[in-house]
Amino acid sequence: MTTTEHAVELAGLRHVFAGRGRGRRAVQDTEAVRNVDLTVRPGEFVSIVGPSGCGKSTILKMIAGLLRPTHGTVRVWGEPVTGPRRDIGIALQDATLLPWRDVMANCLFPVELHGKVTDAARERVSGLLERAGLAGFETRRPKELSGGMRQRVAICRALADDPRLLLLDEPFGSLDALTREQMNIDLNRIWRETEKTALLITHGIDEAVLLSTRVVILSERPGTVVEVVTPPFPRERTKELMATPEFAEVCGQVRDRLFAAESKVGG
Amino acid sequence: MSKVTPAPDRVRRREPAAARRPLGTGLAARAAFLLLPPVVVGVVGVLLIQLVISRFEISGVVIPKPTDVFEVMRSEIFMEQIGESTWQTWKATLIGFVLGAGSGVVLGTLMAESRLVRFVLYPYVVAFQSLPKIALAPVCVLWLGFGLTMKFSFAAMLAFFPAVIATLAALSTVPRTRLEMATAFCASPRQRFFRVSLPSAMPGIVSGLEISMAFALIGAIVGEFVAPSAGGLGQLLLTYSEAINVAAEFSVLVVLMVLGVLQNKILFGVVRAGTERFFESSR
Repeated sequence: MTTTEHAVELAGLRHVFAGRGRGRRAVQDTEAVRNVDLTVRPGEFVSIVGPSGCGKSTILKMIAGLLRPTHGTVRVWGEPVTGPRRDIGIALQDATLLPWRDVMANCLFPVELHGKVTDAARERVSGLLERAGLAGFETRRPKELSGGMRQRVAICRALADDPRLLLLDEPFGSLDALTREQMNIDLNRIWRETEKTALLITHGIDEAVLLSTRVVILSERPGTVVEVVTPPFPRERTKELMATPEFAEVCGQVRDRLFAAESKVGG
Repeated sequence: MSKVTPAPDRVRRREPAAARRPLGTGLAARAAFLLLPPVVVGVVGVLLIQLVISRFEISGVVIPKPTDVFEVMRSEIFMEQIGESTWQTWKATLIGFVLGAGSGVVLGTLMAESRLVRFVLYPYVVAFQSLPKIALAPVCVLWLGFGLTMKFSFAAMLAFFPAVIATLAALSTVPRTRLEMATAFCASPRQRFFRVSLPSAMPGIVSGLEISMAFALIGAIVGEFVAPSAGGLGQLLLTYSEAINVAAEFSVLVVLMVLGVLQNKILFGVVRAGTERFFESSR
């Protein structure tokens, strides 16, 4: 065991989705992820980018304990993952809010599942909602919210039970570019203020560079790590940063690697 | 579900009053406005039938005049008979509904939640559902006699399947991402079922129960048809039929219709109001 405890440690990770059927209509086994080695240190914000279908979400699901790896190990805070953990907060591409609950009750859902809802938990959620710009919306139902607001609620829900690790699976994928940019700035602030460790799955290069302390680039399916880029920016990220040549340069670097990874497999 | 739930106004969001109530000032005015067209059509329709029957001198044995039906319904004898019969029919319907739909929801749930149960029982559910249930009536009489038991059993049998199918379908179509979300947050199977699956499936289940209720009434009436000494509206219909008292038969039909409307719309109006929050569609 290592002396420094990693938030996430993936070693030789491989996942194969079993095929089905026989004959002409058979679906073959699909190797989604191959030999992924990756560590996330406490307090980091790591993004995983890759072409669509490269197994990004599969990796996240394995860390979340929703999927067993075919080979290799997943460790979270040093412990092998055998199922979902209480100290992980997750937000998916779809906000997946429960339509019959109001914003507050939706955020308290994980707290409720893990035990009793205390006043402290309510206060923490109120604070999160306020930070996410949702103060005053506690009693609204999801259908009364915009898409961006729903995603922010989902992120607050992920943070509600004070998890140590935040997993985000393209949480802003369905939003328009402008909203998305604003959400990224908000997310950066929440990440800094709550001092969590975060792992983000995305196919947005700008988004990955803007948010991350490290950007992990995956190849086409079967996904494997081809490059890790470290954006040399301070933890606080701003809209102004996005206009700098340094930012563009890092993005260009990531983009080049990504295309190289694609053509390597394709050609 | 056009009703918008008025969220407590913590945030300033006030529509002008006129926008919220376009049809009038109060609930009564709105109800009157909504009821007026169908009532007018109904009254005109009845008058038309009356006119046609009088004009072409159609025999009352074929179609009774609305005034005759009205006359029968006002008579004291009819009032006495109808009260007792309606109660008997409705008692059978209600017991049948509770037993049939209740066990239907339970079986539907078991089938949705357990692959084994679904795998083993589904063919039988389908087979049994395909059977015209009326064909079972003679056997039911043989086993259960002519009384209330036979009637509510028959009603329960008809109420059973819509509940099974609706529950199974509703629980099987709960969004997978929703369940995955709950699992990721460490929900136990029990928590996942009661806090996610069941509320998600509520609208589908309630719709199924509505059908069950209507079927239970059919079951009770059919039961009374095959076992006339069982009493109830079915028996009353047969009695009037034998006496060729068509106006009275129509009176029973009117009562049946009212009963059906009452139990389906009023009863389920209450059920829907109670479960209203689950009917909100949203991702």
